[in-house]
Amino acid sequence: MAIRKTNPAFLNGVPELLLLELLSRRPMYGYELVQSIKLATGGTLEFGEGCIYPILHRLETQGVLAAAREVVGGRERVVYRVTPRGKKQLAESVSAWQRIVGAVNHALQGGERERPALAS
Amino acid sequence: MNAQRWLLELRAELVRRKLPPLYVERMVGEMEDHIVQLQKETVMGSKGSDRLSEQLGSPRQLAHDARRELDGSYFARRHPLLVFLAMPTLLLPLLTALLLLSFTFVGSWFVGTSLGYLNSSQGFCFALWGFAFIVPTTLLALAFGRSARRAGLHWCWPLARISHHVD
Repeated sequence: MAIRKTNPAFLNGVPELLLLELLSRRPMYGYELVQSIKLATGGTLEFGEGCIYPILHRLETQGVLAAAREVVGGRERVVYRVTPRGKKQLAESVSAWQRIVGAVNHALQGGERERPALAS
Repeated sequence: MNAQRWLLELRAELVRRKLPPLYVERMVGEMEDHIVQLQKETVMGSKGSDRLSEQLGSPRQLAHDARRELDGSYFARRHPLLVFLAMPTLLLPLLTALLLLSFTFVGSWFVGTSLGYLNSSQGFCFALWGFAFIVPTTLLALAFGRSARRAGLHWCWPLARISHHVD
């Protein structure tokens, strides 16, 4: 049995970005968020579903998210929403992500920004 | 029962990593809710805790992540020596000096009034020095104690941290 790593190394920061983006659309609780991530990414990203909770708790401590106990679907659940500070952080993260993706794509397509000097 | 076993394992791992009790309760509560929903919407209910570990991550890994995220959340956890050693060491004399200065200022105002005799009384000076030491000490102890409690740090945490580094 292959146990999924909760947060593969190359995905560092990605769950956080997705959580902020999805929560900026509407408040959600944990399970709902996981399903939204799967739906939004077409199931491409595989991660242990539990890994989002420690991230959510950290983001809440940092004031990026706010959490409140609310009755949803007949059960009391912790519902998360993005704070104004979180919206600001999301904008910065999206901008940084787009720069990184652009740079990696550029490199993968064989692009070179500058040719390193060769030792003669 | 397998979900219960998984949750018990998670709780044990979280406790083993000395996460704050409130955090443990919340994490376990949210995971329980997640599992209930998962079992409702899929047919994994009877497949056991291994299947849950596959879906959610192993309790050990989750507790490890929780510990790491919690450590990263608080300035006090990232820079404990600065917060609990350097800051009180600097702040205590500073606050004491400020308090003494303000007392001196107020005292100098009293001189020339009918209460001026208080300034020269030995008892008053003794009380003033005591007050100037006790008030900042109490305030700092309360402030840093609250900070440590919020960050989920145990009183013997510095010793644990040192032994962790030694290991």
